[in-house]
Amino acid sequence: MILTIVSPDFPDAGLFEGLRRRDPQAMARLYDTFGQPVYSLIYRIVRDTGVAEDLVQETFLRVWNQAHAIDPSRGSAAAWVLTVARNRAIDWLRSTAGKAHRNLWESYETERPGNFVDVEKVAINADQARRVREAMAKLDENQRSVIELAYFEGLSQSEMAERMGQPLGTVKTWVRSALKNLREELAAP
Amino acid sequence: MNCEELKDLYELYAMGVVDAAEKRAIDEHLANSCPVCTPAVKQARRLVSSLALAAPPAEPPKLLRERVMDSVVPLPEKPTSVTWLTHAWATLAVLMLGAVIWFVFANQRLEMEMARLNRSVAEAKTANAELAARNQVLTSALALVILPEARQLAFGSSDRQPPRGRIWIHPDRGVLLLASNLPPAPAGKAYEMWVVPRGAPPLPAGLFNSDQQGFAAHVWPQPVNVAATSAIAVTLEQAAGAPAPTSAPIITAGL
Repeated sequence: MILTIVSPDFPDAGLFEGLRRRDPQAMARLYDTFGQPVYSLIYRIVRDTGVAEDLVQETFLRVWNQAHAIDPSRGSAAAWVLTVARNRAIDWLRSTAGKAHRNLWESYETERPGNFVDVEKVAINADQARRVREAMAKLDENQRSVIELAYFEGLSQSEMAERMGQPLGTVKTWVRSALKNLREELAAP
Repeated sequence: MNCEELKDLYELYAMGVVDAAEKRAIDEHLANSCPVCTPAVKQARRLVSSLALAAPPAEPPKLLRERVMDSVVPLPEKPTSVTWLTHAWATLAVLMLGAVIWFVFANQRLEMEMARLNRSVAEAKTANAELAARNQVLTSALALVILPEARQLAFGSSDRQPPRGRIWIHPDRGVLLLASNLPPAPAGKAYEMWVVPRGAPPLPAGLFNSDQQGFAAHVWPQPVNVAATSAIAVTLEQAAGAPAPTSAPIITAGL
């Protein structure tokens, strides 16, 4: 199971081939492409620069070590790299909350390279970032909160209901409507 | 759960935040290549990944790139590091080997000590059994001696050669023999006591031996027809005993 580099911002199909060959230049280009968004994502989740730096390093090390599972002919490498980064941060967050054990298997399952075969490209550029932020801004406060709690804090709907002090049914309604809006706003062009 | 029930969960599934039952349901649909759920989950993974861009942009420290590169790119040569690692592994291996050897020897010592303790316990049990048997003999002997119906006989007092001693005979309690100067029986031999009826062959009355000091105490705790008994005798026999005397009596006490 192999991933493809099809994003316009990540057009070099030879990059992962280079990673498989353990080519340092390929790793440098990978960091230059993903370093900033990966760091931003992890820092948003952990809110600590030192921890964020450690987790960025761990993220790229994991990508480096799993490059053999990536085929540059299909799928989204960007989606996979960002998922690996998020999982490292969520794992750390849960470990500090005493919930690491539950998350270990979930992280592994959500970031398997095979999951990203045939996933449409994810553009990593300023236009796409603006588009996502605008889509989030269009959500009402509750909808935005539940998406942020799920994505940036890794909470389930039950945990969100407990955190927000709201009935589970209400939270599910907010989640459902938020995701519907985001799908419409962020549908692949 | 059917696809309609799962359609609001695809993104949460991609984030890894669905509950166990929901996760199992989607896993099953994907494992069966569900034509609805499979592409929908792919789309959900893309959308979820896009949410990373909602994070406020933050600039990573300049040194982080170098740190990442150092961690993943094998540097050409770090001999000191290799040497250090080699020595560390070698030291660890020696320590582990030492630990194993120590454990084996400690285990052997423990087993030897346990075997010694087991032998001591067995010896103690044997000694205890001997003491119990001797206690029983002495208790029976005491009972025989103090009963007024018991008849007392002496033997050996006029002999030039020991042994000497006394015998008590009681119709219900049997016969008690106490002897001194009776040398221990040779290997494979034992002393056998006989109740000798009048006009009949001697009846065996038990085997015994004397200790290193030549003292012997033997009780035959069976009823005896005292009136019909002419003597109590002791012969040297094979260790297993004999149904009838095979040698001349060493002790004879007539009634």
